[in-house]
Amino acid sequence: MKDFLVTQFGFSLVLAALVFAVIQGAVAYCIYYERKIAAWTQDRYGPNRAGPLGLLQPIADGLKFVFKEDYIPGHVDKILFVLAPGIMFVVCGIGFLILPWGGQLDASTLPWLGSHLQPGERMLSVQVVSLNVGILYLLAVMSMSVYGVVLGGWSSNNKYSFYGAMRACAQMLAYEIPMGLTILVVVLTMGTLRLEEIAAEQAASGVWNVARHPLAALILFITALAEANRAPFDLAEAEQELVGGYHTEYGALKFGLFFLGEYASMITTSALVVVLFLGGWHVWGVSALTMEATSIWAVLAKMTVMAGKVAILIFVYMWVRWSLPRFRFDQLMRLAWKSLVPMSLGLFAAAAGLLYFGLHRSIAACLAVNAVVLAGAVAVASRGRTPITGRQANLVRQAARNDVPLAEVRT
Amino acid sequence: MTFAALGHILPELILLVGACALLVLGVTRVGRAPGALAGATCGVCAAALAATLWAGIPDGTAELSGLALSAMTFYVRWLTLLVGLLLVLLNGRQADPAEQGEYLSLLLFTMLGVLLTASASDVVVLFFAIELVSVPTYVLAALSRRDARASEAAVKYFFLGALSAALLAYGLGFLYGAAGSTSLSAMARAIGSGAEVGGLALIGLLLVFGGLSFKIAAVPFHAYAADVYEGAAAPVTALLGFIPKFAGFVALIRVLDVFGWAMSPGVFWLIWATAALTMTVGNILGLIQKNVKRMLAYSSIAHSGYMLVALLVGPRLGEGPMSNGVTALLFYMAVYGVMNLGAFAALSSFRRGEDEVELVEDLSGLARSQPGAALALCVCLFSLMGFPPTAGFLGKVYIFSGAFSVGADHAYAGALAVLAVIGVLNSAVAAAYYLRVAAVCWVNPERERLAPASGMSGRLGLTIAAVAMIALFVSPQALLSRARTASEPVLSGSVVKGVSRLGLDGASVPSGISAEGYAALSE
Amino acid sequence: MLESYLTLAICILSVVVAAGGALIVAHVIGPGRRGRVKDQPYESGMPVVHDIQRRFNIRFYIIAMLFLLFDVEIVFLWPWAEAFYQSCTNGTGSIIVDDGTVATKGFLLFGMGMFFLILLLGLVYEWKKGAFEWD
Repeated sequence: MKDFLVTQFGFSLVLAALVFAVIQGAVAYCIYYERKIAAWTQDRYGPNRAGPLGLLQPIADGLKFVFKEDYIPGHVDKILFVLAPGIMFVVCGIGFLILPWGGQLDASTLPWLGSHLQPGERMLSVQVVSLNVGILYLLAVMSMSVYGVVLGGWSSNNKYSFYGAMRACAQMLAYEIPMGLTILVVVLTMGTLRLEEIAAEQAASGVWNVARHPLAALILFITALAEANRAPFDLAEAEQELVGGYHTEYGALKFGLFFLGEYASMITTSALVVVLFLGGWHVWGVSALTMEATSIWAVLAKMTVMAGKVAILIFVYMWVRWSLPRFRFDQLMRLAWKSLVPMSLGLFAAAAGLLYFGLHRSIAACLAVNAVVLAGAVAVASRGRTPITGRQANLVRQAARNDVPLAEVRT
Repeated sequence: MTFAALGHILPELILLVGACALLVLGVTRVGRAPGALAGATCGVCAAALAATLWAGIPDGTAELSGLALSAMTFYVRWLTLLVGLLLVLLNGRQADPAEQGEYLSLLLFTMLGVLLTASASDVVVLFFAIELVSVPTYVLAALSRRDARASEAAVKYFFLGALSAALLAYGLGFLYGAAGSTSLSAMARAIGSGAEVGGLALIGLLLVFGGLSFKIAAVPFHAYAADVYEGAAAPVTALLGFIPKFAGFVALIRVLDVFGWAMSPGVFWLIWATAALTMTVGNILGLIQKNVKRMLAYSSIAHSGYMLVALLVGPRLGEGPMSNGVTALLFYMAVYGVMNLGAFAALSSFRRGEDEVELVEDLSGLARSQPGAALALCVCLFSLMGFPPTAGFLGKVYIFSGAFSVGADHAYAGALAVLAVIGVLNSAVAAAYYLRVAAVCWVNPERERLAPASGMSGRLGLTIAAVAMIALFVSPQALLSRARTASEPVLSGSVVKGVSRLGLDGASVPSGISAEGYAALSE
Repeated sequence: MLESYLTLAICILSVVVAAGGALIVAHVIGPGRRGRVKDQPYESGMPVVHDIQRRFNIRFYIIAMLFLLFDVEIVFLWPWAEAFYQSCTNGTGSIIVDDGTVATKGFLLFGMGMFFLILLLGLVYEWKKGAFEWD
């Protein structure tokens, strides 16, 4: 048993269980975190009754999810109705398996377990599975969540749910394209699909990819927001229009699983952004946070740094949610197809060109092409004279033709 | 595969780039200028045609993966582009102005598909090429006019087309399974010919024949033709009658070449029955049509039957030009393309109020108001009927004399002679409905004056077609020798095999090509 | 390598079992009451008008089609990105394909450039055609 736990296989299984448990807990406290941030933004207290500072609130919420009536309405397609939250839960539970949490671990530094090993005798990867198609696996898993949403909305046989599901589906599909393209920019820079190698390369050179491709990082972050159905992209569950969107008919634990899925996918996508662009577990000037530091304490420090970076990104997610108003659907689609897709195509072409000339790791050259792509986008946008989030061009024309004030045109 | 090899497929590249450019130009300001896009499309066709003629007959040395160029490629290239040019002229102003770009671009794409069908040396490329011919035609049928009938026609065409694509892909899959390679030449070596052909390859051949029967509108896959031809606008119908049929027959030649043309009894009788049924069903149903376009649709089905007779005769060496089925088929395809185009050009050059000419009666008294056009239409109809002095007559003579003259040593000489008799009888039946149209034009009193449609392209196409029919009757040699050159690689097997099956003894070298040229072709 | 996939399979299986278990446990624990009105879809308290099996905006369909086109094309970029990176960084300026042919980095860039150009033409066409407008 003791030997099994210090093999990569055994270690991976333990790590998977550990990370899964931590993420479940983190999700519960993310909700608390979000409510506190909302309260802070809106100048009120937020949850403060259950426990000190309301810290027991997530536990109370969780228990409530389990003990409420598990109700299946009479008009639904029962199998799909139950399957949908299950899919969401599974997706959130298997996405993080591929993420590198802390570089390499020297098994001999593990207290008790590794006492019989020589230093450096066995190196373990602090990652549940290491696949040569790493990023593709993550993309595939994340795009599965659209099944949960669509099946949930469809099987509910409720108009609000259905429209929510259709919107969510269109949105997730549209934003998956720029997401894939910006990740390809990183692949063209780093030359590998393995996330752990991307993180290690950034740590070794001390240059985070965000310094090379800030525009790609921004696009990836925006698409991550959209993929998680977070505000300002939360049209699928726009409560003023659609009650609850695709989960209108859900209650009790099944609703809880949808909730869990959304927050867990926030954590996974944030971690992806951190690994691809923000150097993973690396911070400059700390000796514990280098490739060479492989003791258990260094690994724990790396995991803490990684978690901290993810927490900061999640804070930004919430900050954005409580600061920006929701998009209209036409704006949402225009932002994806007319702005993010062309820009990410441009970045991809530029990255390929840089690689051809061997400049793919040069910060100045990368920044220059990012600036060129951004300038091109700004030029096209200013030539059209309508902001990407403004009214649709044909509506403006329609208003001019009929001599109606723009505000009265039906949107 | 090198950059230099791209020079060998210059006509194809010109069409591809032109089609892509037109698609985008169509939605820009340039596309809104009247006639700009049609002019550009004509330019692309003319450039591709010039590139074809400049390159001449490919010497077979080009190293292209998936493509093998031969004399057949050359024939298909210039014929498609020439008829295509006329089709573009005819289609120049018919479509909805907002969709002009797509319309013309799809026209070029479907022509590109025919060109690729003729040079594909790999079944994957062959399938792709056939689909490139088919898919744009579905859209063209829908775009051709703003009418529920056009949409209905397009949807019917699309669903049946999807079925036939599935049959074709399934059949090619069986061929791949039997041969273990997707290359046509490797397939020909692995499958062998005659009695050696295994069951798996036979199933493949039958399925491929089924799939391609749809493209050539042969019975029992002919049902869509009448509805689609009626629904689509006349200029598109002219295209539907020629382009998919040409591609289908070229593909059939390529596939039968893989089997070495030595047919097992099952395959022979299947094609025999298909040919007989296609001719008969087409002509009998043609007799009872009141709508000109439906009538021409059934006539086009019947013509597929005639051409299947030529296919069944197959390539035969050293017995004079009249007996080679593939030569007759290629000759007839060219003649059919032009005369069919002429008939539809006649329909699209007149309007009855806002509508196209639809019924046979609509043409009443055309000869009184437009004697020239009526005469040209009658020339095309006589050619379709197979009457002298038109090229259609020669085409039928070549096909049927080929079937009669296979010689007693041929295993199916009797059956082919019977088929030829059925064909001749059918031509006589067909005369009835073609003559009825001619009679309506010349004898009936004028019912309603037909207004000439805007633009000269319709009458130009009609005139060219009629003149070509007479000219080809007077001097068929030029076309005939080209068709013969094109069918020589089929004789020698070098279209797909790259090796001669017949050896290089001087006696078997066909006339019209030097022994050196033949050797070059065979290598 | 195979071990990685075994780990992955075990993890996925456990999560699936956990999801099923959670749904069953919650179903058993919670109370259950039913009623005719409770069985109806929720429409803000109004009587239900009709079910959802109706026509909806065709533009969702167009978005789905566009996604299919672009996503399938992007799938081709993944293996190309790896191969191109190798050809550019392994010092020889080319890679050797399975059947022994040598592909130089220039040829790889040209090939993908053509593909990319067609992708871009499609985008321009869709844009001009108004496929991204929503009204």
